[in-house]
Amino acid sequence: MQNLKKLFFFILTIFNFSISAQLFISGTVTDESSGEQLLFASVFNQELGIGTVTNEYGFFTLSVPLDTVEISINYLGYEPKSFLAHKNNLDSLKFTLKKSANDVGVVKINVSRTPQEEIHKSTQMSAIKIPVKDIKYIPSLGGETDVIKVVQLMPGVQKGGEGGTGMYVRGGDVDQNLVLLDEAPVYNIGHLFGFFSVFNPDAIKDMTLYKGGFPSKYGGRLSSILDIRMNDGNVKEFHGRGGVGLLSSRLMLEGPIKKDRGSFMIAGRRTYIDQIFKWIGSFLPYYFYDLNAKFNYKINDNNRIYLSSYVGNDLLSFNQSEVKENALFNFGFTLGNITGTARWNQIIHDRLFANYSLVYTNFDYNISSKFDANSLYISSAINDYGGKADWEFVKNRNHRFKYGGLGIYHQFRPNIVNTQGEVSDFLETDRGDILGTLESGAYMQHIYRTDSTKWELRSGVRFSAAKVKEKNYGGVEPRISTKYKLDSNSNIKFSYSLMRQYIHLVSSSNVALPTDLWYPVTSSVKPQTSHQVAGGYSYFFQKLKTNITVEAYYKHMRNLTEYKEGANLLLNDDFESELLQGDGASYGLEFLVKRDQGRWNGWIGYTLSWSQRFFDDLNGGDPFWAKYDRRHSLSVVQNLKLSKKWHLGAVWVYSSGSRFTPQTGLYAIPNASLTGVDWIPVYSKRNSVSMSPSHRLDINFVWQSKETKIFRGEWHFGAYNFYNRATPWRIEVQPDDNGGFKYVQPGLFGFIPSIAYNFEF
Amino acid sequence: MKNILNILFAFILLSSCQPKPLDVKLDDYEQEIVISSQIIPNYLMMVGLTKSFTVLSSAGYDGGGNSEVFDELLIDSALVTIESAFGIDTLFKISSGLYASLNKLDNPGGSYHLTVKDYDLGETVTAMSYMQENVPLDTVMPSLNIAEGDTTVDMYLSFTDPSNQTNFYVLSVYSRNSNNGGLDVNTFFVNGSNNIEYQEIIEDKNKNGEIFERSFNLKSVSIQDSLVVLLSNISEGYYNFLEARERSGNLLSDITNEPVNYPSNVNNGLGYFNTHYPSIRFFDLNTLIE
Repeated sequence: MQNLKKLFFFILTIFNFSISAQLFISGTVTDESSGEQLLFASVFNQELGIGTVTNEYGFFTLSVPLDTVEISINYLGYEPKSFLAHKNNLDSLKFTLKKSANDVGVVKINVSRTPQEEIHKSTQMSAIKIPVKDIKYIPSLGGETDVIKVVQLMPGVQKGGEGGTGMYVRGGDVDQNLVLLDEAPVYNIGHLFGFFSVFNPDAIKDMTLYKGGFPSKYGGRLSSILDIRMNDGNVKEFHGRGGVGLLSSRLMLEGPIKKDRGSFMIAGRRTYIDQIFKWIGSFLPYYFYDLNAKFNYKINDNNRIYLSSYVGNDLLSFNQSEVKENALFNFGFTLGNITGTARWNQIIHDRLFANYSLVYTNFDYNISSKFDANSLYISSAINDYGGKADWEFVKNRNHRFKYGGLGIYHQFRPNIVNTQGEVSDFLETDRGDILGTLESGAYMQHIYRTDSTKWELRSGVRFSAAKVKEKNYGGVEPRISTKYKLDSNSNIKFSYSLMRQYIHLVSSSNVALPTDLWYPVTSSVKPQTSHQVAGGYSYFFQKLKTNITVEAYYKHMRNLTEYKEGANLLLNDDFESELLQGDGASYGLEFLVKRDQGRWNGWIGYTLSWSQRFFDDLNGGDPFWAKYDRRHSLSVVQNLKLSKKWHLGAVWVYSSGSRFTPQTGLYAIPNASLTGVDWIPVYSKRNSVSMSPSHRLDINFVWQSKETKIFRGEWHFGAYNFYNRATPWRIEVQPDDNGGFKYVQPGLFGFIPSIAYNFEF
Repeated sequence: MKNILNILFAFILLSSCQPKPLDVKLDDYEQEIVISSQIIPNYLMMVGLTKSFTVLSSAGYDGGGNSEVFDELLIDSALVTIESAFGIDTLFKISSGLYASLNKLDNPGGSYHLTVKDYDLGETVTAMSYMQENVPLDTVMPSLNIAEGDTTVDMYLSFTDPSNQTNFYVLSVYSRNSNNGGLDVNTFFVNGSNNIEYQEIIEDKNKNGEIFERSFNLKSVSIQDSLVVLLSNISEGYYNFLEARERSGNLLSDITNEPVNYPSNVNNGLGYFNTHYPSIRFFDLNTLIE
């Protein structure tokens, strides 16, 4: 009891509200025309050199040691605006910004502060903020703007196979990325076996990728957090946006539910390649769709509620009788995510902001097949039910606090198999066990800034735990980030993060499939942990609005999971016995030159990296390279406004090849009956051979065809892999000129032209 | 509208080129000596010697398994010795790639050191194996079922696992037509006319010191067959070798399994040198007709 009292007084001391000679300016920054809250907008006093940014919910608190002060608010693509704040007018201030006359990416230089500038000025390192409206001119496969593909162009993020949405961040594995859509986890981020991401760009407002220096509020994965926020919807007027492409079409509608109080946003997207094939007399019974919806309502100036949801599915339904009379073969699958978020934002006090969220996520797949009297049905699902609370408190201009907690219940339903007919002889019907895991966490983060703003320290700690069957896991996760300002344009940063991960991805084969299954830690499969240190230098060219960052990192990972050599994973429910755990280490250097504004903007990112694995029972106990250990990656992403009507987007990427384990030899041993021989394959050391490096140029010309006061349309003429060079994605064996064989690396996609029409009204 | 779509798709398909695949550069493959071994109880110890070869040769992907390729891989220019408690024994060549010792080499608990010098490749490989203690079959009870021309055998057998030690076993049942010399246990495995009817690898984890029982049905036998049941107490290394073999070796596993290199106890080579000494039971199915 005595200890509790001490703790209570300690907290009271930290959150001491009795502050003197301070002006606390707080509120939300919104778009003047739509009422949309602007995340990470800059709020700044030039005279004192004091500033902050709106948080991920659009709220800010700025503390200044004066009674009257002029603050400037900046946001990329908006005209900066100044407000004179006085202790008597604080309640009447409405922090709204007007969109710049020029569109995003082509605004005049020196007028707006950019997301990159905000990262440069903060303690946060190893993070990238990407406003989705900034990427609409970036060329993409099939003309479909894809937010995940843009993330893959950032330093430190390696792609998986060609065209896929797999992300390997700073030498981590694909299951070490937590993707949040309005705070709900998304387990499957790819449509069409990963060639397209599930995120409709028209429904997304903003996304932030953290590769290191993780804020304490985030946890649950080792390598990255991708925090994606949906559009809130326009609270003033009805508007729409959409596009018609070769593969899909999409439409987003938004408008007020009650003017200046509440709004809605509904967005849908569907591929229609199945319908087109049907129309031209062919047959491809596959399509995907997704729907996003969001509603928000301002109860009063201090309380706002949000409801948002995502539903997406991939569907294949092949019925042979449709192409051949009396045929008896049917095959189909569905694969999809559902997320739901209910959120309440509350301004408790001008210095205390709160967010309360309830989240739900479902990911499942169902496969069915029927041939004559045989039928097979396989399904699997994961359901998450969670709640979280976050508070942000500004004590004074030197001290800020963030704290909160979350609990999430994962319900895993592994493979359910139902068979009938002869197929049941080798694949038995199995209901599978439902597994429940409770994952919880609590965190506190303190940001300390010196009066001179020369030095800033963000320190925090997170306590995480997972309760699984017969076992409890948990531990402390310290986090620290610091920035030291060398001069007005440059600073150095350092960060350390400890991360814990309580679920992992179980693949059903050595080929990546969307049917790969998420599974919790168990009494024998321990949580993964990582320690990451990073240091960096950042220079911001004010005149050019260009940021140069150089970062070095080292990450040590424990209890990574791999499969035993020769593991049989196909529909194997006892995969736990096939798993091995070991360590990993990755290190590298990342360079980024990024310009968010101007007629010519874009970025150049380069990564030099190494990623190794250490497993006692793999590769004879010798260290081996991770599959996506790519030594060099270079991305050049450029947007250029050619004229009033024409715009050019171009991407050139170079990447070292991923690694594989080729079969190199064969030998014979007597067979089991001792009457002949069995041929035994010989493989190289694990992941010892690199595929060839690849490079590719994609371009996108945009022609603004029509613009009136209420309608704007533009044509996109794109080309993927402009000079038609193979990007290796798998290995094939082909006869060579000497009568033998050779391994070759075919590319998946050659030159693919695309055309799309986008509009907004 | 339909014509426009046809034209549009034709344009897309025509202009979507498949890029030329890139070659993979691999280091030259170095051939290795492959060891296999077999003890025929009370008769001889055989050591098989072959060479591995590159999978990218003309015989690699297409020719794996054909006899012409196999003949070229047999090693017939080697000096093969086994050092044990009985001294150093130099094996003699039975045929190309097959070396044998007629000396009595069974020494349960003893170690055997194999040395192979191949004068063709200019390589020397070595391997060492412990001969595990023999574990006898307690009961072997085959019962013959003859119905409407189909002959099957219900087999029941048991053995007692020695306590306080970790053991690994391979249990095998072979059949051979009696007209092909199947009645003679010493020549049962000669000439390659026998068939494998059942094979299982067993470890005593979680069942140490207990009685192991097995019941299974043999479907591919006839009343002219004789059966041999073998139980071998094997090393953990050889168990892992057989397990790797069990996991792979079929089309589905080639596609879906993770690549596996078979474990080996051969220094500087491949394969496995094992010296297990089986317990053996022999049955003539004719004598089981009631």
